[in-house]
Amino acid sequence: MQDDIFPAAEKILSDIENVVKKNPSLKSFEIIPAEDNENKSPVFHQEDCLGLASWCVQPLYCYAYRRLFELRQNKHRREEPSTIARWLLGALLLNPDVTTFWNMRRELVRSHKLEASEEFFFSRLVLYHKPKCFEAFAYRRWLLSYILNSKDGHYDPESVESPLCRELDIATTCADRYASNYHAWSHRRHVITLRESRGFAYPTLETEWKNSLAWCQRHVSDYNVGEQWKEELFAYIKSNISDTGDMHQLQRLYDWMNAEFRAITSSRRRQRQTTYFRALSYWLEEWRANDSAICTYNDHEALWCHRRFLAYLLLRFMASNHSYHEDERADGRSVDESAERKNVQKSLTNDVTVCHDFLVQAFHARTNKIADLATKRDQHEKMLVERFFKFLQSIGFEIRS
Amino acid sequence: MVKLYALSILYKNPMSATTLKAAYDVESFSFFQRGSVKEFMIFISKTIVERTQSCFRQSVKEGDYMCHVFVRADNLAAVLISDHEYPRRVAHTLITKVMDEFAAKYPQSTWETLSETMTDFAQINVYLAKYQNPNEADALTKMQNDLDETKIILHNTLEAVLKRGENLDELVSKSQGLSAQSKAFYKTARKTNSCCSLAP
Repeated sequence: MQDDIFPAAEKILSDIENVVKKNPSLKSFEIIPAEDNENKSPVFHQEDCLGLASWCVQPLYCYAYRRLFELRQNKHRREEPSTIARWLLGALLLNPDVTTFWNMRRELVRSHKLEASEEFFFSRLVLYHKPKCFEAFAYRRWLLSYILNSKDGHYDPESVESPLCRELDIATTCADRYASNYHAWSHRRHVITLRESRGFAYPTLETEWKNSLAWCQRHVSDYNVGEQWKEELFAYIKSNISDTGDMHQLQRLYDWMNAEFRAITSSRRRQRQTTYFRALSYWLEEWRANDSAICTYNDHEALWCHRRFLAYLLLRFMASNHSYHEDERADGRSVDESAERKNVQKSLTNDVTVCHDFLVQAFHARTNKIADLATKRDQHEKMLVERFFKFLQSIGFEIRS
Repeated sequence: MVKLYALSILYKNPMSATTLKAAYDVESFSFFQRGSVKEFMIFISKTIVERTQSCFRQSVKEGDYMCHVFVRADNLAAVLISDHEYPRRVAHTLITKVMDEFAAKYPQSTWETLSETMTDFAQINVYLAKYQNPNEADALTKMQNDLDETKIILHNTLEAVLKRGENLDELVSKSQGLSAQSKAFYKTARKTNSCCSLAP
């Protein structure tokens, strides 16, 4: 760290602070390459966008860093909270990966020197500049639980403008701006879990499903390699690469299916039937999207891996439904022996079996068709297709009867 | 990400190429970079057309971007700049189509004297917007391969397209179409060893 003091630092910091405070609709922060100062202010502000010329980045950061650590290491020193906040603003905008600085901000929020709502705004700027910054996401999560706990009972879970919707927006922007952004997706997962545990009505799972599907169509091969993530989600998928977005969606679908099935009692058979077809409709939608993506994009392993997962899910799904119908039949026999009821059960079971056969056949036919297309157009993709078929064999995916 | 950034129609003179009409989508870039990004797209499109022989189709990869170019026998050319995930076949279908339409509106004899500001060809913006989603735009051509993909020449870097003895850094520093600001952007992007710092 250089020893010399940067005389313009305080002026630049307060310029930045002014822009941030005065413009609540500020959207972005970025560093503009510029080799020398040309005697002009390095702070640019245009149309809700904030820019800082690159020549002042190093001296400015060094200045803020030194001030903050001097303060932190010397317990007897006191400084105005507003001054500390200003140094932190400068330091974190330029380098947001320092946990100590975020902790200092947390302390200021706790002692009511900083407004939580303004902190959401500030960390959003940081995430625009560094969309993969874990510390900033962690800070937002902390802020969320801070406001939800402090105003306990005051927030309106039915409100359309829930703070969670804003979090999803940010997660989307960050995932757009940085490919394979694990932190953005785990933030998303956290928000959805929070929605469950805090009983928020919005964002609905339905919109989340649609949005993430749309996102996946825009980012074909955005995948993440992460052992932990994978194991947590699907311990049974044995591929190394998994499509982050898709995984996220499907885990929800899967959870949802399981939950729905558990929730319904055995007497409400009809309802089960509708639930079953509804769950299936999600699978179909995903399948169709995967089909058209493979047709459009050459040679993307993520798409074929995702297709494996779809095949696997279909198998699991059929197995679970099959067994539940067996159970049902057993139940029926012991409780009620009337012929009429038996017939109803039989027809339902038949419906489901026929439906399964159709599905499997359709899946096979379609797979063969696109496999043909893929093998012809690309040598590398041919290998992917072969692997895919091997996988189908290994999980025992075949047409019954 | 599947994204289109620029679509331009150019006329290839024996010595240089002139832009006849162009459309850009630079919304995904940070605000202060947009101007430079646009200048670069113009610069790259011109450079690449000047170095592509007529009747050739090329797709050139540079960092996170892909330049698709086609110069027709009559020296009309089109360049599409996309990210590397955008399907090649759709990209080339698009530039062929755009040129056909342009040639139908402006006959060959006018190309030499046409300038970008005079040209009225708003459809180019419509095309750029519509083809952002290759699924929608490509619904008809998806299954039938009317365009022979094997005819597209692939290059892994822009340098591969340049003539012997040329290099990109030099071309950039000599270029008059690029502002000092844009050249500074380029240098920074080079220093961090990728185009990523220019990327959104």
